[in-house]
Amino acid sequence: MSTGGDHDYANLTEPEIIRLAQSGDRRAYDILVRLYQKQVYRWAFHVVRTHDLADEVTQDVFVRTYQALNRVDPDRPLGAWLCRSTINAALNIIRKQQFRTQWAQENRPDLTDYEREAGQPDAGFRRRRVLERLEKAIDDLPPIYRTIILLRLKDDLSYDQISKVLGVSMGTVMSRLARARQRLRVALGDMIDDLRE
Amino acid sequence: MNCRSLEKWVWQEGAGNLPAGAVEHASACPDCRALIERVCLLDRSVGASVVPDPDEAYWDAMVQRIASRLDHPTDRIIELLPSVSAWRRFVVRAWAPTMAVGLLAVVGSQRTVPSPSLDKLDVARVQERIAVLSSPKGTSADESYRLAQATNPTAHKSETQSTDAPSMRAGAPTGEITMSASPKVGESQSNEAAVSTRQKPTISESEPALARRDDVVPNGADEVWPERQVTIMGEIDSDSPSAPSADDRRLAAQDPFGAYERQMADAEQGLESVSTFASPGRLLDGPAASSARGSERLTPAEQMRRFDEMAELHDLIERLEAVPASSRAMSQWTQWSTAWYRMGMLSNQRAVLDSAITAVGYFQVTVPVDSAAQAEWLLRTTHLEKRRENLER
Repeated sequence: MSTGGDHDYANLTEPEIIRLAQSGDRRAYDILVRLYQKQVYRWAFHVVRTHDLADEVTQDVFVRTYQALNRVDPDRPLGAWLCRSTINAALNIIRKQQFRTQWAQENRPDLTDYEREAGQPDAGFRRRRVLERLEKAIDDLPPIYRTIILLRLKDDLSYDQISKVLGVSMGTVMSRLARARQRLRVALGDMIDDLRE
Repeated sequence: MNCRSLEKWVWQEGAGNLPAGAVEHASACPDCRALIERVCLLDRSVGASVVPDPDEAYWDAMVQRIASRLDHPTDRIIELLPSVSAWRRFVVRAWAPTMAVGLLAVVGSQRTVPSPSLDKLDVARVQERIAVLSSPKGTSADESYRLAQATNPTAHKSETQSTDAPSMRAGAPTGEITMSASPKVGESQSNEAAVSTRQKPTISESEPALARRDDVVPNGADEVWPERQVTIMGEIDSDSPSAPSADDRRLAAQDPFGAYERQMADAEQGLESVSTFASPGRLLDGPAASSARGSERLTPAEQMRRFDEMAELHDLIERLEAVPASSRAMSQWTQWSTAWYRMGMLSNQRAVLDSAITAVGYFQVTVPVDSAAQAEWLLRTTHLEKRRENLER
């Protein structure tokens, strides 16, 4: 295994770094990890919604990517490959942890609790509560809906980019996005008006 | 633009980039203005949701941990066994590769019937099936089948084996096509081809694709041949294109049924009403949600589940639109299942609702065919999506 050599890594382009990593240069791969680890973690978090699982997914993705590095085309952005792998891996982890959904359902706060508190005059308090509720509603979305809505609204990916990353048609992206929005809307109920700053 | 089209636009596209028609409509419609404002609020708030931002030390450690896992792959197994003693760690470290190979061998031996993938579709079998379908009407099932068997005995053998398989198959490989063509002894003069499709994308290491749920899908192998017909079975899959593509239209132009436009018009009429009914927002915000009837009221969690179920119905509609040749039969079937579903909604009876959802969990339609060309066209159109995926790759 090569550990580097005399390369001036700082001046290398991404395709050059990928080629070096493909030739067994572990230092080059470390650079790729550093380049993408935050983004991979972020994508993973969109799906799994806990730090520990996002951490696990991030590690897994980079280990698997290294093992499959020879199949990566250096001339295409590694980010797209990683995004797809990350979401795949994260969905797999979620599937193994389906009890979590059940837990979330059972522990969803009773709406009447909020309604009692909503009578209080403190708008800041209500806003904090509705943001908490929104986070929980995002947590409770089916992973694929959650992934799409966060890629679109948080990472600002276009429909086209999302459809390529997820390997589905743009129509599917749009319909899933609509359903995700509608589910959040339903989950928030009348509280949605408290989102106003 | 009207309220309905604006609502659809806003849910799909968000409220940030409204077309001129939507702005004009919203200026005169307070309900739509309120919807736009709420979707805006929602989008902004989701965009501002929190993602943890660990410090630099965490990222440095991440690089080290990944490097460590690459250098010592078996350590990961040991990490997952926190309470084992030192000698066990030694055993795991020393024997992990052997155990892995052994496990693979055991797992491999459990796999009995390798299912053919769509990519390896046996053209000879398809042709044989079409030959059966196009045999003279006076030919008995046994005769036409023997004829086909003489044409391709290998295909017959594999089909005979396939009918021995259980009718429900879980976790079959993606893109599977199973064909059943075994006539029942003593059955009247009849032919049938049963085609079962699972249109899921392949998940491969070389190109990671989105993992899908692994539902049980009936393979549709029916041993009875009541008449000339093609039975199409498919899983509800939200990945269906919502509108016919250029490929769909090209195939439609070759439609041997000769009634494509009329069928589509019928289907659209039927589907339009289904679509209106299945609008989740209307149901959940409307009187059906607030005035629960029947003996069992739905809890909020059940309402959410109902929402998912209606999303499934939407997916079904998209799916039906993607198979224009059989749209008439599918439209009828959809209306039937939707009526069932509506009954469940109105009665608010969970049992009825559940049974309806079971009905829309997969679709099965039987389309009468008069010629091999029709059967072939159906085969092609029902596999269109899969072929398109392959082309894109």
